[in-house]
Amino acid sequence: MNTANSQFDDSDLKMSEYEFTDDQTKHIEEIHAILLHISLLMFGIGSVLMFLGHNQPGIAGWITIIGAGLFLTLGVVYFHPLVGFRRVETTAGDDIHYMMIAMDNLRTAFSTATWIVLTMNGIVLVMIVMLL
Amino acid sequence: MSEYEFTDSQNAIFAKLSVSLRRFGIQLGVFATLLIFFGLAFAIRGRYEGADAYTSVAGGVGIIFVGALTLALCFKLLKPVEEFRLIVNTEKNDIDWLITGLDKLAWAHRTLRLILVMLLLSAALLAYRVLT
Repeated sequence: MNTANSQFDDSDLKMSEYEFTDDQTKHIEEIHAILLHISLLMFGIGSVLMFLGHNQPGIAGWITIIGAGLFLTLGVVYFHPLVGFRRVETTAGDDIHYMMIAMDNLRTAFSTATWIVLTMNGIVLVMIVMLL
Repeated sequence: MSEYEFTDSQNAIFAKLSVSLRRFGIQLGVFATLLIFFGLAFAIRGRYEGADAYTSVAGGVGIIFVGALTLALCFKLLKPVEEFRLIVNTEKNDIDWLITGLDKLAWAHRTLRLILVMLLLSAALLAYRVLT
């Protein structure tokens, strides 16, 4: 969990005693499940692309391996906020504290994903130039 | 109605989350546009220079379809940005805005899951062809 370099003050979070209702927890479980699926799918795609890259000669193989690395990184990045969501669902008390950890990790995930998509944009641009 | 009000440090997290999410959404929009151009180049080259291992009309149409889905994902990802901003800018109903924002985020990620399933199937098909 991203607690060491968190952007928020930990002390005032522990003061909050808010407990999510059952209905609210269901919504949190839903996003938790979807993010887990996405993380696993990213790992799956990254693994298959890695295999394909090794079997492809030349620059296309290298581009595929770089793509595989980006998908595997995205898998890790999307897995990170799940811990916070899990804690919100399974523990009583400190719900807001764990939710904020999840939100902070989600923010980190989106920031990292932005850079990864930026790199992918570069790769697609190279591929367009190669085709033209 | 839940009356919990996030603290200033918690609001700062939501403000940064909304900025990260907006940047990610915009980058995905650029990626989707490039993907559509790439699909067009792929299909045109396949049509006029004959299909080979790297270009084909069907492949190009497939890439354009994934590009269009990614563009839809970009617009869906930009929707929860408003809810996270409302948590910061308004008083009361913070938890309701949070749950609505998470719901919209889950809805956007359902589209991402669909795109990833399609990518995984395509990659697995390619890997199967390489193996046989």
